[in-house]
Amino acid sequence: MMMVSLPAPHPLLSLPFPPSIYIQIRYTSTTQILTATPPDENCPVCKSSRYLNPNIRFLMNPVCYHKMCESCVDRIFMQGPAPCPVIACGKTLRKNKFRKQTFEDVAVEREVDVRKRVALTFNKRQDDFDNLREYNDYLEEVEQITFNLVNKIDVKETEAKLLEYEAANKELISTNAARQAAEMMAFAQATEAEKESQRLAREMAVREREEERREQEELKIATLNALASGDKGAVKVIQEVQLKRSGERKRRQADEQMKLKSLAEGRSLLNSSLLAGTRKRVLEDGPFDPLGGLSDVNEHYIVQDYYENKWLENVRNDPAAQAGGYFVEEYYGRSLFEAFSGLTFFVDEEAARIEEEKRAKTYTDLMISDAVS
Amino acid sequence: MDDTIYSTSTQHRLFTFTPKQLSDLRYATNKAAIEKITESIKRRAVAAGIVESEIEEIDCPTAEEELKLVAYYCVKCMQLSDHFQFPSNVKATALTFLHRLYLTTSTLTLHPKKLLLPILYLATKTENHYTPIKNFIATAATAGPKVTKEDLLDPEFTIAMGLRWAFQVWHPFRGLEGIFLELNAIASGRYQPPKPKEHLVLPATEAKVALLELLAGDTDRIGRAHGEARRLLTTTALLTDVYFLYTPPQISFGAFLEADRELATFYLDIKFPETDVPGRKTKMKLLDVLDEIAKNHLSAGLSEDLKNPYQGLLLQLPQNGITTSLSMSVDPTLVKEVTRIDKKLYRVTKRDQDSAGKKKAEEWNGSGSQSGTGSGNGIGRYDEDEERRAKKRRLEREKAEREGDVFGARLPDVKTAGAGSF
Repeated sequence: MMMVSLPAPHPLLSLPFPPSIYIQIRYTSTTQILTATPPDENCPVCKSSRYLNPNIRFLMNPVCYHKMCESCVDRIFMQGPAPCPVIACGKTLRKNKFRKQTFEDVAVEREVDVRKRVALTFNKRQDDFDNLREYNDYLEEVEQITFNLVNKIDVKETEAKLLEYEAANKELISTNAARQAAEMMAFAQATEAEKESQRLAREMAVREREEERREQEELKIATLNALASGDKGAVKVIQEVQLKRSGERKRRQADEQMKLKSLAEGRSLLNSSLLAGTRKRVLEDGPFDPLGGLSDVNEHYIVQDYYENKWLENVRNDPAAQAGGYFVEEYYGRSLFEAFSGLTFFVDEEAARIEEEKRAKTYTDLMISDAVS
Repeated sequence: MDDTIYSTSTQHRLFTFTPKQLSDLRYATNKAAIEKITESIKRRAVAAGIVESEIEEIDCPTAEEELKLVAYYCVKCMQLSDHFQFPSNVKATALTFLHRLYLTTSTLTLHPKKLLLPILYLATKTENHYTPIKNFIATAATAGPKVTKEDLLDPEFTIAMGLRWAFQVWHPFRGLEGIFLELNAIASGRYQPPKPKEHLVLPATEAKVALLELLAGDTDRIGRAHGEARRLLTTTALLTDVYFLYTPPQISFGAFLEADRELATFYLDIKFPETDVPGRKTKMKLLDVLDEIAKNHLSAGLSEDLKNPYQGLLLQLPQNGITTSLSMSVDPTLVKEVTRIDKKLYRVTKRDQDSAGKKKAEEWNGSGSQSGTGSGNGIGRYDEDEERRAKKRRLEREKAEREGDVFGARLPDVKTAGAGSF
């Protein structure tokens, strides 16, 4: 199954690809599961059953979603478009549109079709919008259209809306579609590369084990030979040489493994950064201002270095107070700040302003009044 | 910039109102508390089998009466703080806490008398004026009945909730020091005008000449004005609504204006020079506001007979029969009035407790045994009943011990005492 081979992203880490890709892949795999056991039933047109014809296949047309067997489809629509044979339907169907039913429930089948179609047209992404609010509004509108189409509410108007949007945003739609295709491809490639690197790592591990085993064997033989010849010094030398060799081999292996690992990591990083960085918006010009346009200059005073005050003279000359971290300058600053912070801030004006703000209709109010009317 | 910093403070966000808003809030708090207590009394009475129409009329204190009571206890709190010899920042913080707490809490829910000491203790902590709790309790004992550590610490959470966890208070007397630092600097010719207005303001030498001319040899005048303004800010200002209605620097300047009008005007002219045309409108508005503070709130000449500038609003003004100075608090008619309100309050809350059952009542009386310095005014009278009962219990216990009855005195009649006990 395809799902098994997916790299399992850690839930806390961000997904390397947009979630839509995962969903699509999951969709296809779900389809396979659902169609694995076809139910036992009759064809509503010719009444032939699975009992009589074990190879019977049911098809339906996404115009009216009426189901019939393959042979009926061949028989009725061979000559070109024809009305649906189901009584009181009569919609004109074409043979090439017939397909296998994916879901058992026709309503679900239809909703999936509608959603697919709407998603083809409305394929904007969050980074196409300036802020989250706009994006959410857009999503809501899309959902509204989908809902209307699924539940057959104001179908005509909704269709018109959809077409209008399609015409107006032709370029964006095709770019986004291309982007999505590119992402799918990149994702497939990344998966492939990941698999490849895993295979390489596995092979390397096998090779290592093999090498180690061979070394051990060689050592054993060499030692036995040395012992057989009765040369005790030679045994020692052989063992030392062997130890050196195995240490070197281990170092080499670790290096290789490191290389492989960093290669894989680098690839995934590259992928995610390439995809994420496709449409970064340029922020407004100018440097970042942490005070948000306020100045730190006091309008009414400046703190001077020295003020005459007999109460403060003691503290100023008292090393005990200063060693504790008390600075008379801080006192000056705070006193002056408190003497002027809010002096020209008038409570009644502020209250009037808030009242005014409350009365002014907000965007949400307008939306609500729209919805009510 | 300075104004923006102030407008982000909790003092502005949570505790600044227009007179109308403040008055509405007080009425709303009173109304909600009355509804709650009336409903509770009625429900219990009905549960006890009394027909609803026969329930005795429930006479709750009005919002005006509640405010009078709180104002009275504010004076008590001030006296208590002076008894402890706390510095003015502790006193001011404690009083501000009291005022703020009773904006959204009714005296029907929480009697101010038992909060005076806990609030004062909380204020010492808030203002970093370390007072060991043992010393605090010892000093408190010299002013009234004994309190325990639990009495002081238990209500703290409730108080903090009422204060909406905003402990920092911007006191106007701190800003006042800044004003006088600058005035002294002008007098000595060292004053430096702020950069944006430098070209508009008188040079330091000319400002010095103008000020000396104004002082006319009376060099002590600045010091006296400072003392008077500070006195106003640490007494009268704490018994009025200025903290709720104006920003702290406005209150400082208002007090300065009330203390020495000429000097204050001179200083304001330095800060808002006539040559600064765009600033003229702000100056006019500021002068209006300062006048309002000085005349309507801090003026020593305020009395009940004056015309009320805030007609129909519930504010702490002498015109509304509310104490705004320490000397007025000993006025016998006022004390009588407050005693009457307190009795009324006691009757209502007692009725609620009686119907609530023994446990709640004990809770109430347990933490209510401290009566602050209010005991001399007849307000602590209803505690005598409880004291007498406690004494009786103690005597009984002692007698039982003497007689060697290991099981102690006979328990009071409790209906539920049954199979479980023996």
